[in-house]
Amino acid sequence: MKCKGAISILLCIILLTGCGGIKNIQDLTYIVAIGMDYDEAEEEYIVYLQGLNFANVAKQEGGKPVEKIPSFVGSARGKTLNLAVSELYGKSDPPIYFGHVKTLILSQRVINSKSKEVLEEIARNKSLRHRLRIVTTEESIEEIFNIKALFNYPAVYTVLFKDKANGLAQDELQPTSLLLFLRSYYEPMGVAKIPTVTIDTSSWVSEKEFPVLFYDGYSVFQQQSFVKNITLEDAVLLDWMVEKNIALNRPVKDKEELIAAVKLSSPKMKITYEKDKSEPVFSLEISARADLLEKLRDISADELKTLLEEELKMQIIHLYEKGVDSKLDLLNAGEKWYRKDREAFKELEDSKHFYLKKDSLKKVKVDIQIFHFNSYEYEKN
Amino acid sequence: MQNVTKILIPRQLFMMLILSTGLLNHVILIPNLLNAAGRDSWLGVLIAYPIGLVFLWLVYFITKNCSDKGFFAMVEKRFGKFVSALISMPVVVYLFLSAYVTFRDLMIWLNAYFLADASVTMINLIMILVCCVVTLGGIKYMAISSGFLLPLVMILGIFIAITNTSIKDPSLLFPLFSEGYTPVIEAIIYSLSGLLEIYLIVLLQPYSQSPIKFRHLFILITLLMGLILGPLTAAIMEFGPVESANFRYPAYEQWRVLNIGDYISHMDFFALYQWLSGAIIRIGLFIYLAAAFFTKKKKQYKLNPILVVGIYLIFFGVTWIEVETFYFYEFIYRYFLPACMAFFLFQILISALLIIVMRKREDSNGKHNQPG
Repeated sequence: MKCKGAISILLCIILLTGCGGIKNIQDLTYIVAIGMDYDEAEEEYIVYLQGLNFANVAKQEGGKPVEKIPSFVGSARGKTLNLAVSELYGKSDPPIYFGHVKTLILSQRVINSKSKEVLEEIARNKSLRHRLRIVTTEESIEEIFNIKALFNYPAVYTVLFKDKANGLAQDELQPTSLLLFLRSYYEPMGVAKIPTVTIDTSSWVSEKEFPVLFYDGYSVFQQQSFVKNITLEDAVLLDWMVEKNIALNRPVKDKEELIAAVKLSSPKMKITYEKDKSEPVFSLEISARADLLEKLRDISADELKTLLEEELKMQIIHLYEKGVDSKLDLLNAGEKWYRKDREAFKELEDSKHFYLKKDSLKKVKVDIQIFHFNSYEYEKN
Repeated sequence: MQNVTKILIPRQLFMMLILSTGLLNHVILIPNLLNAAGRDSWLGVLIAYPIGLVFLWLVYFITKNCSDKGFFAMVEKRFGKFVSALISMPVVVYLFLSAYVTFRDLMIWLNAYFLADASVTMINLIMILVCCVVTLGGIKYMAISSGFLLPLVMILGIFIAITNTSIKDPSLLFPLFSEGYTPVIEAIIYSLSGLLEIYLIVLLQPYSQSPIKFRHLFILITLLMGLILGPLTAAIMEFGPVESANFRYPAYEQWRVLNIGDYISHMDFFALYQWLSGAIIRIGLFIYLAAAFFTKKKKQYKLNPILVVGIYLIFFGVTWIEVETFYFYEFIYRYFLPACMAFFLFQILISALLIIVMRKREDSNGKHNQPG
């Protein structure tokens, strides 16, 4: 029996060694966002780290506005991401901890020249998870990290850390994660998109102007390389068609005259391919629901519907053609085609040219149903 | 004290097998499958399943026609020591090698994700100690503890499968045969190397209280197939075929992307529980089965402690051999798993053949002895 007791004590001693490496949460610097920039002249990466301030995150009793606590942003240079970060280890006390990084910001310069390398480095890193949110920016990353949310809330309440909206989001882009990005990035057809983030200084004022962050478009990749940025307007329309979960507020115009404003819920998009083609040739069918928000001129409901459908159709064709001009398959038209037909895809892959032409889109059919007119009847009698 | 002989009902034995072979299928096999066939790997698993069923039937045939003492004891009695050694040696080699592969893979994973700052020697020492205790405990206690470990391991597995559903995109599984037919054939080889481990039933049969039914075996192999298919398709649906093939531990990565609402994430320590229970039972069981070949007295089904400790000491010594991890994984991918498949194929066929020969002899003996 004595022997058994001794063994169990010994086992405890060995097994409890795990507690030797325990870290207290107040003794760590939690990094919540990493920014990466690239200096082409020096061929060096510049890394920015945004530290989390607990004093600012904890909800306070009574909800009174908290005093301003400055953000902490660290930066260093190096030949790779990891080498740059290692410059910071010696200069950070309490020591930095990467287990809770939520967002990665890539500057336009990184995206332009080093996107492939950076994405691989990031995905390999064991401290970063594939749920990591990614955004790109043309602004200075330091400035972005210094921006607070409204009411001087800390940076973790800005769009950089925001979760996907529940239900329909309106006229805004949704965040994407490394996971979602990479899986479309590596697919042979279709585009992969990262939202771009910008500073807006004109919308909010508090004493002086109060800058806020917002998503203002997409950086779009096709076949594992960066192609170009698209504007907010195109991006929102694209998201509305392809991604679901987004509603659009749209003006309806008759020539130049504004007639009404409607809200379009997320549509059903159907792609039909023509058979036996070596490249995808297809037509689109889009059906969506519209709710009337405002009506500025008397017009019959049918006319309003036709106007709306015509305009949407024009915009979609325009968006598609813009995409083809820069060799982007914005509507992911190739994707379903590829899933169905392996043989044709093989041929196409061997020929190595872009698989869409302007006339690959044969027909667009938009079908809108105006479901309600807000709280009024449509026509005043 | 109650005699431990034949105390185990087949269900308990199967729980043990699901834990140990499940670990192989879940953890070691999946990255290799993805490397071999990418998007089509899941197709390979589905095709391998009916092939596995045929061999399952052979395994059932072997166990049905064995005496209580088990297949190898019977072979020794009928054909002599030489033949018995000839067909049991490969099994012993397989058991040791497989235990080593499991052990080293686990250790690399632990060191990469959880015990990054801990010394490898310490991890080795603790793991070996635990496995040694498990082996010393004997097959009865191993099977009983599997009964406790397995349900939680399974619940956690189902949990992760369900919570990640929202990020899965089934269309990533298509098109079928995207890279042609050869990768699918490779995938079949790799999946068979996992499925055919049901041969271990032949080794476990002498410990079983009641005869093993075909129904049991069928459920077992179906579960094992599901254990490959589940996380494999999940990895493809979540990360896409390219990124999941980049991963060294695709099944574990699914734990890392777990996210419930705003506040619940970082629950990957559950994977630690799953992986460790699987690995400890697997290593403990394999060493036990291997050591059982060197034990003469099988009455108590507890092994000679000196033998077990000796084996583990050698095992600990082997962990000091520096094997470059890159070549270790290359070795598993290129040689070990394909060799396992071939080994099991031959072993099952030869065992079945021996049984047939034995039955023939019995028949003719029976005729001779009949008066008339």
